[in-house]
Amino acid sequence: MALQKLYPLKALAHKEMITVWRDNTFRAAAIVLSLLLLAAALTGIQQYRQEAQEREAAAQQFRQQWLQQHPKHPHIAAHFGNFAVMPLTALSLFDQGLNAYTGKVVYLEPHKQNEFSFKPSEEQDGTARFGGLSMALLLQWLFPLMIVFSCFNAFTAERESGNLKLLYSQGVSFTLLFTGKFAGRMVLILLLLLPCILLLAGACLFIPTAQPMAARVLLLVLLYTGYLALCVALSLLVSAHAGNGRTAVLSLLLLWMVSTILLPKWAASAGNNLYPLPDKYEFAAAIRADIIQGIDGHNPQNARALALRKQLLQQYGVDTISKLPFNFEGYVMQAGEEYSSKVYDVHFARLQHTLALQNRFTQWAGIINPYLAVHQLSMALCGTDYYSHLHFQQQAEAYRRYFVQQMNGDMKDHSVLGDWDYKASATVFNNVRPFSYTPPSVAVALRPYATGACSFLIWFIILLGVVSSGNHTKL
Amino acid sequence: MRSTFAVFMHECILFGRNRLQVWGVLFFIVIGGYSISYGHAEIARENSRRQAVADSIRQTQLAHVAALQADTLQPAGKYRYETAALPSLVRFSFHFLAARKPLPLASLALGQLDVTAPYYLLNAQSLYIQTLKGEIANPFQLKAGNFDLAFVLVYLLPLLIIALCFDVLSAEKEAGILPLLRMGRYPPGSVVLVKFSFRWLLACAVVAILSLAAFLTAPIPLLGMSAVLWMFIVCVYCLLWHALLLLIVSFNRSSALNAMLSLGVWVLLVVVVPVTIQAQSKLRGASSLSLSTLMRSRNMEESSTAMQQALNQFYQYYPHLIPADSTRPAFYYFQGYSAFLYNTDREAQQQVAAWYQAIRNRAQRTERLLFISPAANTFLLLNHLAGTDVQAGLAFQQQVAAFHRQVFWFANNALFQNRYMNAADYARIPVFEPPVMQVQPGWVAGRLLQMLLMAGACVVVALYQLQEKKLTHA
Repeated sequence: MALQKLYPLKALAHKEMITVWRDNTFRAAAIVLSLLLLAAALTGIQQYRQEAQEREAAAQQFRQQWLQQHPKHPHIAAHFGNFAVMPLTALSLFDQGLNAYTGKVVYLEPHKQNEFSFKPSEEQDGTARFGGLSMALLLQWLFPLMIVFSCFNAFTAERESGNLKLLYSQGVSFTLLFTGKFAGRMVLILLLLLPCILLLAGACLFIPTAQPMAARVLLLVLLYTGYLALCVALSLLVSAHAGNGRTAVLSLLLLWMVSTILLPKWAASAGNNLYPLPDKYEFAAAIRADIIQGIDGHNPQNARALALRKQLLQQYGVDTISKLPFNFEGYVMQAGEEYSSKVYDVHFARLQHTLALQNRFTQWAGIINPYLAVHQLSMALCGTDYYSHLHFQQQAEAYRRYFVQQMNGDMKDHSVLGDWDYKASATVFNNVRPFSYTPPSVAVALRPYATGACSFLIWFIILLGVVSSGNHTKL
Repeated sequence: MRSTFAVFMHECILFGRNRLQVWGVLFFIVIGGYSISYGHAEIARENSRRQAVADSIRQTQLAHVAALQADTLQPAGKYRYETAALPSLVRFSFHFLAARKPLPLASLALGQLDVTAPYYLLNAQSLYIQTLKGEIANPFQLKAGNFDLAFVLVYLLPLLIIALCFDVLSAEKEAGILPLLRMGRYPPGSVVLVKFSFRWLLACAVVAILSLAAFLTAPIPLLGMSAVLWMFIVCVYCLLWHALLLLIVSFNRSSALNAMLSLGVWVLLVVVVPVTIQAQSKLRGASSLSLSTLMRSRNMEESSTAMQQALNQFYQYYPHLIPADSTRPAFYYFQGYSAFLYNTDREAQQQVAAWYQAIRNRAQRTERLLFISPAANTFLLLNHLAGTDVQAGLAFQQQVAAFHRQVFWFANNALFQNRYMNAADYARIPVFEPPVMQVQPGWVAGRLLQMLLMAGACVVVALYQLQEKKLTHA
């Protein structure tokens, strides 16, 4: 019985596939898009290989510089500093996300938490603002446009030729007709998507990564299949409700323009206007003002350092700091470091809050605009979104505190009061483990975008409702 | 002539009756208005921040000058005096502001302003420690880009033109008027041309309204040569899009197909081509990552030999500073560190210059391909006019580097003369002069000529297509 019901659906889908495939516009668009996908894939692979190698080599070079530095006082060695180079995720060959706008490297030094340096966009001219060629861009922007062009007359052409009445008179319901058209077109879209899926699978198999990528790749395939399915369904519905092909194509193009160009840009600019970021000077001045009130690691005569001295003298039952079992200067240095870290935590938390408020605008806009939701989810899955960058930033900062603590610890335990000629050996530098980054799990990466993911479900439920309640006498 | 005027007037009336088109134009003007307010707000914010920092720095500088008069008999007064008079302290505690000053047109085309630093606070420490560290920014916002007037004109204006023009001929055909037109005295091809002329003038009027609103609402109203050039560039861009639409329309296909083809061309010229140009242009011969180590704190090797080596190298550049006798001057160690800073920056300078040159070369390679992308071409032209392009950014960096040399010598001059700073030194506080951005007329004319040639080629083919015979055949 069920199979009997499926037979007309299969026939409708088959007929739809043949019709669409015979359409020259669709074939031309499919060829152009396939070529662009190929170009994007090759560019992505080449860029990934080159950039990943460059970053890997730089990270190794910085490590060697750390290990091979001249013997020097541990605190001066801490000031020599380390660098954390943001590694490229393998999936950035698919979606470059924010890579061009987040710095590549951060200098890690005592007393200061620096911003990332060398955004690739600083090296580019105005053409960079048109976007970077990537498979994600093509799937997010151009595939929906191709769907619009191939679907706008799916119902209007049938109506204008009189086929629609014929089909309804034979007992075909609107829901069945819609499902047939949808299935037929989705098969072709999936065929076009296949090279991307294969490439992602290949990346998953052949590029060694810190974390397994299979889950991310699977979710990416589902995400884009769902997005394109949504585009097909929406285009078919507009075609079914439009009076003629011209109205359908214009309505769909307007929808495409608003959702992919206007709304994302407006949401970002509105967030920026409503919650402006602090100026770097006032931000640094506020941090400095708070740090001054605390312990100055370089000045043991500072008021808080003196209080600390008194406390330590009482604790160890000695009358002078030279009798303490460790170098008081090293102790104060670390105390100052911990104090400044707390100050940085407070100020950076405020900054992150402002950034989150700015981005929340776009995240909420993702509820009404599936493009925005896909855009963000895709970046998150590829590890090229803002939160992945933040995750890296937090680990780099944790490493900064770790290696500075190691150096201050050596100063405290192995040098004597006032001895700034003490030099840490190569073993001390060797004992500082190299920086290594562990990317977040898929669940952690997707958590900030729960709203966008939910919007997908809502859209599908709405479309399902509209299709199932479709009345063929009116349509 | 009378017929031309009649068709023109008829188009005016038809446009007024077409609510969809009128609403489209009004919607575009509203978006343009938003973009103008966005651009002005961005520049106003940068200006007010720069002013606040300048005021703060000025206060600190005045405090230093006042400290020279402090009562040195009191410990606190002596401490204050030394912070202002000891060149070894002043070289790192006295800051100078080097800020860019956006041109009045910058609020209309923000260009690369958001990805580059608006100002630097400099002292005699290594230049690169102070300039290579990153800025506070929201990468998501940077990627979304600026909602400025240049974006509206380059991205959205062609869409308005498409909406106004895609059915110029097909609508006549679909309404059955084309055969009637063919029977009249006035050739249908000429009717189409007049219709397009009306639409081009309409688009230019919309652009003029928006641009004038932007010029007049700018903090310093803009009505000079740059404003005229801005209008001219945008009108040429409009003309090119009308020519492209005329070409599409001249093939006399259905409205739906025209809409699809027009949008296809828009996607090609505004999205695909610029993105592809960008993808193929790589930075060659230099890498920013190799500059990372320049951000490191400058620590000298802790030995007298290293100190003397640094000074010897420094004296090669400034032999007149070599001390007359062999006795160690009072500021010997401080001089050694300053010499070390000077030497290391001098070595780094070549590395940084190579990086800037690589960026410049990349921009030039991209420019060579711009003739195939009128959108990117116009965008860069507007950025160039507004002084917000990559070249302006590099010019600012160069000016900052030149200014840093003055900053270095402000305190080090007294340091190498083994004397304290005095009021005469403070009377010569260097002030940063932002680079004067000049429009390159040859470059602008070349870009405009490319667009005009492309428009001309489209019009010639379209006129051929619109010949009576061809239309009849279609």
